[in-house]
Amino acid sequence: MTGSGIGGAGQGILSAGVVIAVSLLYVALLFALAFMSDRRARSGRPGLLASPIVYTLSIAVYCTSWTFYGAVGTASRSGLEFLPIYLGPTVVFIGWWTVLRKLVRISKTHRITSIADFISSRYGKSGRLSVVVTLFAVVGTTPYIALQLKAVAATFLAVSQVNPAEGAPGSLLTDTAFWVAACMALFAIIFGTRNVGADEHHPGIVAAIAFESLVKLVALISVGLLVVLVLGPGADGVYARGAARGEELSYLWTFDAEVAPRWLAVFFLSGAAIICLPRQFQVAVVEIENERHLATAAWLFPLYLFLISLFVIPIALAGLMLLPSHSNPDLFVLNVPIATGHDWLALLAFIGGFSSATSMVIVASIALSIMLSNHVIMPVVFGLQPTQDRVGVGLRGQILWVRRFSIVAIFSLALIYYRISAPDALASIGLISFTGVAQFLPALLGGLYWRGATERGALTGLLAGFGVWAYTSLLPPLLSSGASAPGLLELGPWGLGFLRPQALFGAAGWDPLVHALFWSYVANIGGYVAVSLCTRPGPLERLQNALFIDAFRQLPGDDARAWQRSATAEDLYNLTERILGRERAYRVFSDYATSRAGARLDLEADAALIAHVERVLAGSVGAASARVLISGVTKGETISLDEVIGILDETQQVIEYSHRLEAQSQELERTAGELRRANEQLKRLDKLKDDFVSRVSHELRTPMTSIRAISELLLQYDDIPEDRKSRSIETIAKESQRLSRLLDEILDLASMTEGAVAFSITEVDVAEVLQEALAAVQAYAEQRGVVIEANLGEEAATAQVDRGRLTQVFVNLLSNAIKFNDKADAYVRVSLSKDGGTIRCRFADNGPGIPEADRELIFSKFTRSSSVATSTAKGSGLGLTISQEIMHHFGGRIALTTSEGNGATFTVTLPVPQAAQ
Amino acid sequence: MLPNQRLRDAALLLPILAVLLFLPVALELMSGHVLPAGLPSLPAFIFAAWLALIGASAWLARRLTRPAADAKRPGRRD
Repeated sequence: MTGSGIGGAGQGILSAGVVIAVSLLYVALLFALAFMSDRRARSGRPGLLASPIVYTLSIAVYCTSWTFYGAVGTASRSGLEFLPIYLGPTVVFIGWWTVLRKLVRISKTHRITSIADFISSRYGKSGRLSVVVTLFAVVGTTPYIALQLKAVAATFLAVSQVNPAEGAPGSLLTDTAFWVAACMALFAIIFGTRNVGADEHHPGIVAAIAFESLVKLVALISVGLLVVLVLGPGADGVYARGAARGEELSYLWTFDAEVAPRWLAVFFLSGAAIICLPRQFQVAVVEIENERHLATAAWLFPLYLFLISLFVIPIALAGLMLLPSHSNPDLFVLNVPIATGHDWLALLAFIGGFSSATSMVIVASIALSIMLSNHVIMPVVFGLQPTQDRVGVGLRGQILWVRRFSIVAIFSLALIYYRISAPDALASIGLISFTGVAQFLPALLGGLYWRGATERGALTGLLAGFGVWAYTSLLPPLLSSGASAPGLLELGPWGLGFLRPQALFGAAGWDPLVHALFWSYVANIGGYVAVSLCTRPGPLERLQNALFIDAFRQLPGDDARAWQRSATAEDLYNLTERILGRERAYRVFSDYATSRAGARLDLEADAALIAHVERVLAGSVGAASARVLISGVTKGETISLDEVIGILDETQQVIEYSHRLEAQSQELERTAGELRRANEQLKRLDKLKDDFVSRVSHELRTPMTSIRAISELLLQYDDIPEDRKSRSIETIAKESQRLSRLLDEILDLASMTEGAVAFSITEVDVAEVLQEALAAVQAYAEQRGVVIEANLGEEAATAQVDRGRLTQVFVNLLSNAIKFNDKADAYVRVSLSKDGGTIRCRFADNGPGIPEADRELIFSKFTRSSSVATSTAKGSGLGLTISQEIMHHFGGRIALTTSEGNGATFTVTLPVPQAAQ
Repeated sequence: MLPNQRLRDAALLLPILAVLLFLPVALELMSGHVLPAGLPSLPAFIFAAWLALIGASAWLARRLTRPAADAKRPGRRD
């Protein structure tokens, strides 16, 4: 192969040797990148790997060589038809919030490993459903892989200038496709089957394909820029030149109503493919690290598609105008740079195409190998080995080897398909493959939103859809390339015209793609809905359907409740160890033990532990296989329908509950505000108490000091005159009285707040009590020069009170009014009135009054109004507090009604007994 | 609560709007004119609409993933 590629003038640098060397270097780079990323991820420093940009780029594995080269080819042949292939995924990602987010949430919760696993899990962990999906995925994807291999081989020939006749597939060992397949199989095996994950994460693979996505974008944009710069100043220049060629090229930028059905079909199919293609499901749903990455991919992935399709029309135009008319439009991306003498750019474009092909091949083969091993081969292995034989045998190694074998098998199948198929039979396989995987969509979407969908319905729909798809899409190309059954296409089987594969039921003249999509969906959705309506879901299906449909309203672990089964912890541990290996199994169990703080792993495993282990195993071998494995070690496995219905009902309750929560949180906020205010009040009171304690100590100390000083004097000196001695003793007695009065008051208040004071309640005339109090303070008032004016009225006012205590209250209020009043014409006006059910006694003075800030506080313990100078104040500051406490006992209260400016007015209110009213 | 619900509705409607923009009916309407710069109208329309959708999606995605910041924002007076 080497040496033969030296072409014409100016094209000498791109010999086959150079191309091979560059490709090998590129592949080596991929290996190194994947290796390093794997290492970084395992050492717990993912760095860039965990970024949403890498996630988005990995989704761009969607752009295969079929889109890399084929978009320009399609544009050259039929204008804007290449666009819906990018617009469909754009719509799906813009709508990430509705569908993709739910898919990702469910897959993370249930540790879904593939699209087959997802569908089978949703329909009661059905084994047969996963087998069907897997086999159809293999049938739909293998030709697609073959197409990629063919693209690499064909573009290799084009870029290295090998004469097509010389480079035609000869023996296997000289076929480029074989070496590419071998390299990629090796890559997939090394980085894709390293271990059996608890969730299928392959950081090395993701890093490599993200890098490849970047390479193909750069390559296509470079070629586009070349075209725009060489052909004309700016993109409009290209269009202007195209327009100059007249109507001949106008199909490139106009829309013909005739292609509308095909446009719609491709639009829809590409949207379905971005979810349903096994490799897209793998990168977008299974490999995602964090649900939040979707929010970035929601705009970044559409932007990627936008950029990669921006230059398609200019390149197509350039190819049509610059290259001879017989040249292959699918190779314009390579041939335009070569024709304009930019060989290195052609090499870059080749690497771009190579990237798109290899990334697709790698991811598709890994996704398929996981599906094949989990759903087709391992269940057989589990079934063949009796339970007791399995003990002690490492199943983990078996799973890995099955996956490696599957990868080799898939590549071999693709190679065989590539080598035996007719040269041009592959071209249309892209959209045929899309139509095939789009058959998963009804079961997938229905599973997310339709409670009535059943396993049998899904199975019927899938089988019917795939049957019609194979008959209308797969069969015709085979018939036209081989000559096995002449006439079937034209006449239909057994001469039945209405069964012609490309004109079912007389739908002749339709576009083949639209035809296949329409009839396969009629069969698929029809079968799915009809059978679902006629069948009832089993208990497990009901449980799974509740868990999937209400994915956003449930906590993981909800499903454990519904199971009634038992197993020994030892059996579970052994099973886990055989699948995941000793170290991982230990971690699973110890993590579980720590997550349920305090829970001991008993000999008998509870339902929650069994469900947990089943979910972990499902992350490695798929839900259906995990269920089979778990049932091998559990006893008495039933699902309680009551609990399932409970879970279903709960989803309704959850909605109501969230409303209630909202109301509660508002109330909480209000309460918190009140608490805050109360707290401030408390703090203020606390400070006051501290102040007063120090004041009381001070007041206790003053008499104590004088008593001590005098008594010491009396003890020391015997020759004190008798009169002085008696005066000193008198002082001691007075100071002691003051002390005990203060202590009495404190004790009185304390016992009153505790409710330990006995009141002797009798019917009392309030006016009489008031007279007594006035008489008691009369002498004190005269001494202070305060005039007391009393207006007690004529009416009899009686109340149920303790006479002595009420007198105490009145005396306290009166003496306060006298004590703090320092005006020259000081007075206190006392009045008594009866108003309906209440008696009011007002004590108004013209003293200093009480400032606004103190009004609430004067009734608290140990406070005096700040308008009273502390130094001159007498009394403990407990008087008002005690009085208020007493009034509470009588059912009345004391209030400060007006104050400041014109002194203070206290009003005592007392209820009139019912009988007296 | 209100602005959040509105955002979620918008997230549901945006892909529907996208589908409407790229339906054959809309494309036929846009096809066949020539813009002043010499650009044909249909590719210009598709790419412009595409870019606008990407912008809207980016804006929505940012708002949707920051519910806390939303709640603090005073409600619009309308």
